[in-house]
Amino acid sequence: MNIKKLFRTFWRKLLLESVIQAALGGLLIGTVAVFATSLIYHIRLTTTPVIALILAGGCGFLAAFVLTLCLRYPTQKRTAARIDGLGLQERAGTMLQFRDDDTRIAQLQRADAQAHIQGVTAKQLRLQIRKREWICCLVSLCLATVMVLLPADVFAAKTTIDGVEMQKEVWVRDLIDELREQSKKSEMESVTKDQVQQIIDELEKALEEADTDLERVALIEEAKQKIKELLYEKQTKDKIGEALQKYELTYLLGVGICEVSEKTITQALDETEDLLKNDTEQIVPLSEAITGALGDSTVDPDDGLFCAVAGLSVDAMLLKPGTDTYEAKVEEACDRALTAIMTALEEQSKTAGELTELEKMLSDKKNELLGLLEEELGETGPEGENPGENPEEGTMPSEPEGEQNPSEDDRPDGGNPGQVAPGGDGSSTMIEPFYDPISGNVTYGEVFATYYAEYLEALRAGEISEELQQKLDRYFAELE
Amino acid sequence: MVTEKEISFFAEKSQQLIGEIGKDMIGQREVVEQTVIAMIAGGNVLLEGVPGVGKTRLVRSMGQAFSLPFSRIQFTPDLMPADVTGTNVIAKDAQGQNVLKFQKGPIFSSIVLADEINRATPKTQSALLEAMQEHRVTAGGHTYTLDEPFFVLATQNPIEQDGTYPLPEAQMDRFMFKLVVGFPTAEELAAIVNMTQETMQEQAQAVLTGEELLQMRATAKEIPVMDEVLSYAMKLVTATHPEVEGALEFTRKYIRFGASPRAAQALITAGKVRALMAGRYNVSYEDIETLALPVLRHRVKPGFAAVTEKLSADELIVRLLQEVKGKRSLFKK
Repeated sequence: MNIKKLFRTFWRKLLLESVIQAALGGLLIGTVAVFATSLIYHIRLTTTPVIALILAGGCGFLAAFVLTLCLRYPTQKRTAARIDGLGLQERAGTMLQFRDDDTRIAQLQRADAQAHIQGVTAKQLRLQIRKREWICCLVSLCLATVMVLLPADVFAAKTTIDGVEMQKEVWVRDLIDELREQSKKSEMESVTKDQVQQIIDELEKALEEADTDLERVALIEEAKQKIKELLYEKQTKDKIGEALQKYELTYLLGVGICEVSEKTITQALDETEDLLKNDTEQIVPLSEAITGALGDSTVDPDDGLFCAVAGLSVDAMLLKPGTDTYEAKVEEACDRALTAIMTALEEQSKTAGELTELEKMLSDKKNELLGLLEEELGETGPEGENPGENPEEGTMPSEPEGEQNPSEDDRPDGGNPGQVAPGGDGSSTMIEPFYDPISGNVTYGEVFATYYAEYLEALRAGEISEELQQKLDRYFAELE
Repeated sequence: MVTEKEISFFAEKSQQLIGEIGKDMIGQREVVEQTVIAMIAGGNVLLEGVPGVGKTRLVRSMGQAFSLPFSRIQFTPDLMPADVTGTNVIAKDAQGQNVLKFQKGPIFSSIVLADEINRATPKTQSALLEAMQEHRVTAGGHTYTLDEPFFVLATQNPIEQDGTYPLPEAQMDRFMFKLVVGFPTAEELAAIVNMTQETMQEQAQAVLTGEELLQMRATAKEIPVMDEVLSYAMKLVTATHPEVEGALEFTRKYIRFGASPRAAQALITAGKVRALMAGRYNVSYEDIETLALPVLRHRVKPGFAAVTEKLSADELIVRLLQEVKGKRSLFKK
């Protein structure tokens, strides 16, 4: 008896059932994998890459499909059991188990079973796919779809400060990422890049610890000031140029360096070349002039421009008048000086540009933050880049010069419009109303950050006594 | 080796037997069938029912249907063991000398009707123990083997409690089946009355001899049992035990102690007979499920919780069947 042939039609139907069950299992696991992958990326506050979803879903589906198919594959035993379920009372199962039994009773049993099996059809077999399997798949699919479609920052912590809701981590990270990217892209020299990087690192650490938005504004302002100082430090052309202009022999060179004019610098060096060729006595005065100017400039000797100009002095001192190669050496020295000075000026220009970009970025971020705060308070956006630096545009009381120790009585009552705050020099200044959208005056919130940054800077420099520090902390806290 | 002739003989004779007994028993088809199954399988049967439902008549009818010696023992509280097994009596031999001669008791028969067995004392009841299980009787220091086939068909009345001695578990376990003979329906009652107006005598004719019965028994033993069906029967018997590892919560709560291995033997042996009677050459789950009640109801002891909740042994077994049926699966093998 060919049992396989006998079971064939039933087996085919059961195989179809197994494939459907495997597909459902695969779909369930695949969608769970997609859900989990998307969830992980959402927790990391980043967008889920499509390729990751495809890989996770595909691998999950495939693995579950294969596993389920293997587990549910219609073996002969299972097929016999399903056939018996059609009312055969275990005839098929018994026939299968005793198929190799040669006893007469076993043969009779097989014949009896075969007759009964031929009395039923595969159509009578119902596919056993439970409703809950379909429902689970559907639910899983819906959940995975929802998770994929959720925005990347849905799990970001939200802080409410001064009534304004901000996505703290995203905002801070975006800022730092932008700054770092900008710094990386720049063509500044490595020393300057490292210094910028240090400023960014300090800013990141401080922002993470900051509790309020105003504190963040102050920290950004502080970072901006540092960038500005670095810019000033790196822009040595004016210092060196002005110093060179004090000496007659190097006057034109100084002018050319200040103006960053290749023409003027070339002219100055040509004149220097002619001078040295015609009068060897001018070597020492020239060298002394350059050395003196560089000394007066107080620029770091490691500075590129400093080295370029100093190189001219050194080359001049090494000239040996009276030799056959003297004139050639003079020309060489001047050409070298021209190339070095122009290269240094170009680098300074690039650095200045890059640092200005960074400064602008910080300024924009500060204004963005202030804008958000003002939106919540119902005020107009900030006017200009640094409205706090243009006091003539508003009626905000200007910071009295030299006054750093306001007495407790002088402390303005923050937030009460119309209140008069006595100034340190006896004059009175009106506290600007906090809400004044009509006149276009700048708001206190915009300049608060600047004042707070100045305070922090002075605190770091150790310029504020402990007693005053406590008062100022209280002052700023109440204003905040 | 079983032949088609033996199988067709089996089918023919079993139907004849049921038919003959049915002449004397109105209704009670299931009881008749199960009694026949037990007898073919070689087991003893305990029939329980209220007075007058036909327990004794059934047994007497069976005795007539089989061409086998039949004896009846009416159990009373004063019945002694020797009254059952026999005893040594003084008799004169051929020479006229007084000698002790063993006089066989009514148990030395093929079909023994033990009527109202629960009225006898435990000592008398235990006289049946050896005979029922081993088909041997020990009396006066000698062991006498009983002729095959040998059956004990006992009856008991569930109503009278005064002056009765419930059968001990050891003896209960020796009955393959315990069958409950229910009260007939109104139509059946009318038919009974009409029938017995004509005659009270059993009408069954002898259709089977002892040798034929033994042959049928041998034929039934050849029926194959699938591993899964065997496993199912074993799981059912094991499920009645609260002390085994992994016992059902239900069993732990409601059953005091479970069925013995004899129950498992009874299920399979009787299952084979039932299958062959139904024209099948294999035992099915349905055979096991149908025979579960008669095999287990007298072997499973309800616990305190079951007694307080008024759960009978039958209800416990039905619940166990549902539990075990739910776990029945061919995928595990």
